Parts: sequence; C-alpha cells; structure tokens
Amino acid sequence: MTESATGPLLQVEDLAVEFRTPYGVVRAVDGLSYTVEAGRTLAIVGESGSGKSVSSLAVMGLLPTPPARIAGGRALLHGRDLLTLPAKEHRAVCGDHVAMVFQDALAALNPVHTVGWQLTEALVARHRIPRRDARKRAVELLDLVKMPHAQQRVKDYPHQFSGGMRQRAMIAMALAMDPEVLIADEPTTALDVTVQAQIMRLLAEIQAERRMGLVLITHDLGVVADVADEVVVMYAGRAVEQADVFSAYGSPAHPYTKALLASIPRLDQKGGTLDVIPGRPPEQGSFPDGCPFHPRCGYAQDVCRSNPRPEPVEVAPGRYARCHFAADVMADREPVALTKEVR
Amino acid sequence: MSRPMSETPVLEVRDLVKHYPVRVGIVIKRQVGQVKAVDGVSLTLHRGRTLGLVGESGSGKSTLAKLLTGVEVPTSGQILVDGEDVSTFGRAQRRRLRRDVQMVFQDPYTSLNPRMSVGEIVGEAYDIHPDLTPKQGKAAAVRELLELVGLSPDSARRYPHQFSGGQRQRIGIARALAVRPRVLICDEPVSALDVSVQGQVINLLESLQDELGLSYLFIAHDLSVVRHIADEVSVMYLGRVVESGPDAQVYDDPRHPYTRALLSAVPVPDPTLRGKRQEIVLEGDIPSPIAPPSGCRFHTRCWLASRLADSGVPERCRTEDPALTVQGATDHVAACHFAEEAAGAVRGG
Repeated sequence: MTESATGPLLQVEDLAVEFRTPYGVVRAVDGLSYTVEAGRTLAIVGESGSGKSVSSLAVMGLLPTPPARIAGGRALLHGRDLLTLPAKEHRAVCGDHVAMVFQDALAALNPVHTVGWQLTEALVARHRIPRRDARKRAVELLDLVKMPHAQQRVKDYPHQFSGGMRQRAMIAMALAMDPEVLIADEPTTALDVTVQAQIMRLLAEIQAERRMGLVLITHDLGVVADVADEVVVMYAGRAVEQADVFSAYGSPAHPYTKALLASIPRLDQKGGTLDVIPGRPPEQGSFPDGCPFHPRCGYAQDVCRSNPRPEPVEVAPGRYARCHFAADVMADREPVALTKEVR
Repeated sequence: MSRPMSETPVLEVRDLVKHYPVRVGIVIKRQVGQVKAVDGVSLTLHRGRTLGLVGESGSGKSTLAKLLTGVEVPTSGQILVDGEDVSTFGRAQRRRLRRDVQMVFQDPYTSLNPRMSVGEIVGEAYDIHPDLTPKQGKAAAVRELLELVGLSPDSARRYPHQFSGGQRQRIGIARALAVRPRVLICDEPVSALDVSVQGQVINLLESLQDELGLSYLFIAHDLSVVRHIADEVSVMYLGRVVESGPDAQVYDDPRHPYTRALLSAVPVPDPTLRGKRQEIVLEGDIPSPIAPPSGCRFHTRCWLASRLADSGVPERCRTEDPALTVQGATDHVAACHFAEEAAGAVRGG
C-alpha cells in the first residue's frame, strides 16, 4: 500500500445521478459532495430510496448505464476524475484504490466457487502473482479477518459459511486489493447484534492499521454514533445535513436528522409513545416540490413548499444543512416566520 | 407487580420442546440426529401485557412462534391458553384457538397475497369463521379494521403492491385483528421497515393494546425496540430461555453473561458514549442446535467463564446444565452457575 499523504483520498463534488424509467427521468442523487480522508470514517445515513447506495455505486462505476446516467459532478481520486474515465479504466483505478463491501455477502460471492478460489482469482488478476503465492496470501487474508481455521475454510463454498463469516470473507476480498478507501454498504444490516459488533470492531482495527478511509453506508444511527467521524444524512437524493458526528447528534441542524434521532427507541431509555415522523419517505420519481421533507416536517412554512429547494446553509464552520430554518433548528427554537404566522 | 397471583395467564408454555429429525439417505432414510430448535422453554404471558422474546438467529424464537400458532406440533411440553392445554383440544376447539392466537409476520412483502385485494385479505377471516362476521356485514367490518390501523377505508379496493412497507404491515395487523384475537404473536414486526416508519408501527401496536386489551408476544432481535415495548423479557439462547424477568430488571441488572453481552453489543445512538460503554464482544457464532455444547450451552462463548478460572472454563460450566434460578426479585430468573459473578462484573465495570 502506498503511504498516503495527508489530505483527501476521495473527493466527491456535486454528484448527480439520474435514472431513465418508464415514468420519466428520476434524479436519484442530487448535489452530493463529500470528502474521505485517510484513517477517517464517513457515514452516509438514509432510509431506503434516499440515494445513499446509488451514490457510492456511481463512484465505483458499478451502475448500469443506461438506465443510469451520471448527470453531473466529479469524483476525484488522486486528482483524477473517476466519472469521466472510460469504463475499463474506471474499474482499473477503483480496483487499485477503492474497494467495496456489500450487505448481502451471499449474493456478492460466487456460489459455485470456493471462497479460496475467489480470493486467489482476485489476487492473481490484481497483483499478477503466481497462483501458488496467491493461495498462500488468501489464507493470510482470511486469518487477518479472524476467520477461524482459515487453512481449512478456504476450501469451503460461500453457503457453508454463517452470515458473519461470509461478511468476513467479503472483507478479505476487499482487502486483497489493498484499498485506500473502503466503501461498506450496510455491512452488518443482516447480522445479529453480537456478530455486528465483531464485524464493526474488525473494520475499525483494519482501518486503524492501514489508515484506510472508510465510507460506511447505513440506516443504523447507533452504529454511526459508535464509529463515524463525519456524517452525511441523505433524504430524497440530497444530503440534508453534513457535520461531524458529535454536532450532528448533539445539535442537529436539519429537522429530518432531529426527528429521526427522536424517533428511534433506545436501549437506555424506557419511553411512552415514540415521537415518530409522520408519513413515509418519498419514492424515487415523486419527490415533492420545494424541500422534499416538507410534508413530514414540523417546521414547514410556505417557503418550504415552493421551489427552489433549500440550498445548503453553513450553520457552523464545516457544517451544512439544507433547510431554510437550519439555524433555528440547530438552536432548538421556533423559526421566526412561524411565530409571526401564529400571531 | 400489582397483578393478582390467581389470575390465569392468557398464554402459558411449559417445558416446550421441538426437535426436528435430521435424516440422510434418499431411498432408505436414516435418522442421524435431531435439530433441537426449542429445547425446554417455559413462558408466561398475562392479559394485556407484552412479553419480549430476544436472542440471536438460531436461538429458536421463530420455531416457538410456529408452535404457539399451531403451525408446528411440539415434540413434548404443554401450551396452555387460558389455562387449558391445547393438545387436548378437538377440532372445533383448535379452530377456536386459532382465532385467539394470531400472528403478525416480519416481511410485509411476502406475507400478503399479491392477487388479493386488501379487502379480501382482511375479510378472508370472516369466510373461514363465518360466525364472527359482524351484523353490519363483512365490508363494513373491513372498513372499520382498516381505520383502526390507520389506513383509509378506501384501501380495501387496492392491492398490496400499491402500499409501502409500513402500510402493508398495517394491513397484516388488520388481518390478524379481524378474528378478534386475544394474543398477537409479532415475529420481528418492524425489522423490515424504514427507521422513520418503525416508530409508527410500534406506536400503533401500543395503542391497539390499550384499546383492545391485547396481549403480545413480541419477538425481535432489536433489543432497543423490545425495551421500548415489552413489560417482561425472555432471552433465548440455543433453544433455551437463559434469562427472564420484568424488563427493567433484565435490562438494568442482567444476570446471565449472554444477556450482558447481547446488551453491550447494541449500539446506542449517542456518540458521546463512545468508548465509555463496557463492550463485551462474543467470539464466534451460535453453535449448531444439532449438537449443543455439554453442560451450560453458552460455555463455549462465555466471556465470564473464561475469566473465572485460569485453566479455562470452570468444570461446572462444562458438565452441569444450569437451571433457571431466582435472582433477587421473585420473577427474575437466570440460568447461570455464576449469576452473582455476572452481576458483579457488570457493577464492578
């Protein structure tokens, strides 16, 4: 692995992704920007349809085009814009620097080959090393991800592994590429809490050891609170809030973040009725006018219901929220316009 | 607890066992073992209350749900509804039992028939149990049920694919409520839903409980959700209940090392607590229920046992199967030889 200089490893700027559907063009990701730095963890949080997975698939060049289309923006890796590269080169560059771990390891691994075979194949293809060395390296990688009896388990097929072990095998495959940036898309969602804790600990260890930049895509605000440095909260294809994790949880500046944090049951609290967010997340292609969160938002005013959509407001140095009333939300006071209306 | 001791529990399970045979051979089948999915479980659910059932996948939670709803027949043990043993029931009584105990499933996408309209799905219960059809007629009853779960009565004409996950889960709940059950078995009812929608369904279940006096067996792997909704909690491990009691006792003063580990693994959405919580990471996966470990089933993964003796796991944990014993409060039980030490390890930090 190359010794990484300080500074961003991966820089996504103003990314927009569109899908062509029978009902027209749907903008799944709109104006997303983030920076991944060595040794830091960026969490992208959102519900289904918020565009959190699509954005990273776009960066990796894994979206089928068509129907998908990169409608704008850049993804800079070592100063090169990945999004303008031809598909083959894109894959080659990503293969060298960025790796991805998926939620459904059983679907991501090939069922007709042993885990060892798949690891070996990847190593041979990437590092152009003899098969014999690659086999040895495959065992080392499984050891690295704390797979018990790695020597024997390389000969097993994916279906012979438990959910947690499969996820380890996937992480091993990602590490075979010696990535500088690891994108983990819901890596623990299908797992039990005990196994989730094992996997998250493993990822943290590997990250610290290799000074990897980690992009963690998840819907679990608990996991984010445990591991992330920065948070991007996505809603209807846009980053509605971007902040360091302590600020985002301590004084959320977007009503969605705030409501989401209030609506989850907590282990350390026995509550009565939960403060839920009314309605449901909008579906792709039917995002409402104005601020897409306005139909579910307690702060919504007339200005929120009409276009243009709110642009990011810098509520504190390096903290952004896409809300007309971000400052009020952050300070936990009623927006000025609201008090006027009531009177 | 202000509950009178004399009150008959609405649902009681005594020493319930379900073993599935493991067979090999195609023509001549030989039984080579048994999957001990549920291996001696006792539970008590009182009227109007919620019993939370937690544990990892493979602990037997869902098999238990199948036994309670009559989908599977237990190998041994008793299920009592209102104090009556269901195994003694005849055909008519079994039919009656299915009305009393209804189920809400995890996946709202596969548990509703896509070819049936919502009205047909919810109203089907009245075709099977015609004596339950209200005087106003089936259509009126369906409309009332849909309103009860927070859906528009017009939804009856639409089909499941036209609804979101949260709405489908509401349809599933309406269907379960059609036969006026007294017990709802909720098997992971919110785990397939979006975070912002989970709370809505939890609130709905709670308000329905108050309104209709329902009792819930709430099966979930999400311990935060169970803490929120349950009055009593039972923790399962490898087909057994290892700890059981009122929710405050189990959550705040866990006595079984497994409960302790399970609770410590749940991430709390508060970054300021990072690194301050005592975290116990269990090694490995849950063992196979075909050949559960000897003695205490948890000893192969127990963090406490390995701390107690320098020479590894104490002899007693490896050989002697711990029984559920009372811990402090009378209705708080745990199956661990060293429950006191487990509690001490928690308090001592």
